[in-house]
Amino acid sequence: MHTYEYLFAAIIIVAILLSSSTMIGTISEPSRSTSEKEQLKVAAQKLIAQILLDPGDPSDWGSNVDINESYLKAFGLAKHGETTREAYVLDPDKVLRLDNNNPLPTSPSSVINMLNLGNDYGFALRIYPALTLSINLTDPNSARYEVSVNSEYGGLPIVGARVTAKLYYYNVSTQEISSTNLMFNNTTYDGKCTLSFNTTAETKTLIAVADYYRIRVVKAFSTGPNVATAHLFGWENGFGRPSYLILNEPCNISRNNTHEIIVEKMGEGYMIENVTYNLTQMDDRKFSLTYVEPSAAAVLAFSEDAKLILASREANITYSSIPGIVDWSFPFAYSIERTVLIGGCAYIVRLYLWRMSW
Amino acid sequence: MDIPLKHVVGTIALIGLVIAAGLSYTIITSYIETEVTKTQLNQIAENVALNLVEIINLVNFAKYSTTEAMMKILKLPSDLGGKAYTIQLVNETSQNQGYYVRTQLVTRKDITAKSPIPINSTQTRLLIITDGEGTLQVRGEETKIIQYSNGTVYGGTQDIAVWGIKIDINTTWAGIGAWKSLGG
Repeated sequence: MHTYEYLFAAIIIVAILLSSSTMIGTISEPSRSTSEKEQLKVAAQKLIAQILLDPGDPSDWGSNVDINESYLKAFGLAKHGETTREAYVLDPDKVLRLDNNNPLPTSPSSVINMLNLGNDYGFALRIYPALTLSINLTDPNSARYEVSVNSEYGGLPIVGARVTAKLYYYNVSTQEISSTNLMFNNTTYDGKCTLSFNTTAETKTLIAVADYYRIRVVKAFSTGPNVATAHLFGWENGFGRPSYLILNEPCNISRNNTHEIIVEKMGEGYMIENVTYNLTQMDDRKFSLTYVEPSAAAVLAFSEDAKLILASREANITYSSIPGIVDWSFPFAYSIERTVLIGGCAYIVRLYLWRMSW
Repeated sequence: MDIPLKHVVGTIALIGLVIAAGLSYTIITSYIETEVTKTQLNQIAENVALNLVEIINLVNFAKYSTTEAMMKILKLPSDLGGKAYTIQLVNETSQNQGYYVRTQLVTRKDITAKSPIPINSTQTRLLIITDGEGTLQVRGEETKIIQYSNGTVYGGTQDIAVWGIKIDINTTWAGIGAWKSLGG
């Protein structure tokens, strides 16, 4: 046997070792990869169950302005009730605290800590209405609005959705908030319908509710030069705590009263009514309210300098452990979706979960 | 018969190489087997954590305290490739690790996996039982009980169950145990 034959034999042995090792790794890889995805799926199910079914601790952390994220012991968005509770019914105050613009926001890092995700996982949460309700003011002189209702899946038009709306505006002669009659229409083949209110008021808010086979979506749409936004805290007043209206910018509210807009199912349609409650100014941006109606969809007020102040309970939240995320295509994320009710309206909650390392 | 030295060296080198190749192969397959076992342990831990979260939420929906628990029997493998494993609920909230489910092989403690339970505080209304022993009655069942011990069960145990009980209006206990016949 020559030297090169020994070398050749050695090369064959090493080649057999390398190829068999590679093959074993390759054979087990698909099942491992599937298994890892399966684990992520189970982890996402666990997380969404905690977020959507648990009210968190303290259970009134959304509406209680004295509780900020440092006092929060457990995270969950479910609506807490002293007597009855329903599954997948979320508390609007808790949901709105995930909004960056909220004066009492809850940071993703503290949520990650409360959910015990550590540095192993990243997550993103999207909460958006089950139907996209778009409103356009097509003729400002006659307050003519075009309302379109589309599906969230591909923006397909929703035909036959019942749209009920009422316009609230500042009445210059009485210096009060006035409202028009209730208007109805059904969307046509293109998912659109028009509503005319015949008012020349410049600063106004349209409260519209679209119903499609009991899927309800409410939207508050303000137009005019002087519109300011505010935040409402305090769903119910059962604990003897006041509710609050917190403005984004300091101003005085005219006559110290607010109009709470209530949207409720009535027969085959909806009623949109307003109830007036008094305010007490706490500081230049914070007002306490005597009561907030549980079914209040929005709160309207006018400032002394004729500015319309709107606090809406509508949620369209993008919340992520990666700040400033704009693209929702996470290549290694598992996404899971649930339909929930927030303030009687249907919403979709989509959770994206990914592992930071395997 | 004279054998040239180069043949002796060559043959010994070849035998050595075959042995080294065999050892390397064993090490590589053992590593892959460990990884696969870890993945399986991870799956079991995730599954237990998910069921625990679900039973906790189910118990919390009850608006009354009771002496009887709610439970869910888990379908888990009795062993992993012939190796026994344990499932343990661990409380490391003091180290900011929160509560988690840990699964590990009985014979090799280094092969372990964990799945976090989304609670990171002992100050909440929920207490996950990681220490102590006890038995619990389940509503409508007179002949069987849940037996729990230090938040640990062996994978081979028949009828592993996650349980939850509302101790009072503000306190929920949850844990893992075995669903056993009374006296057996």
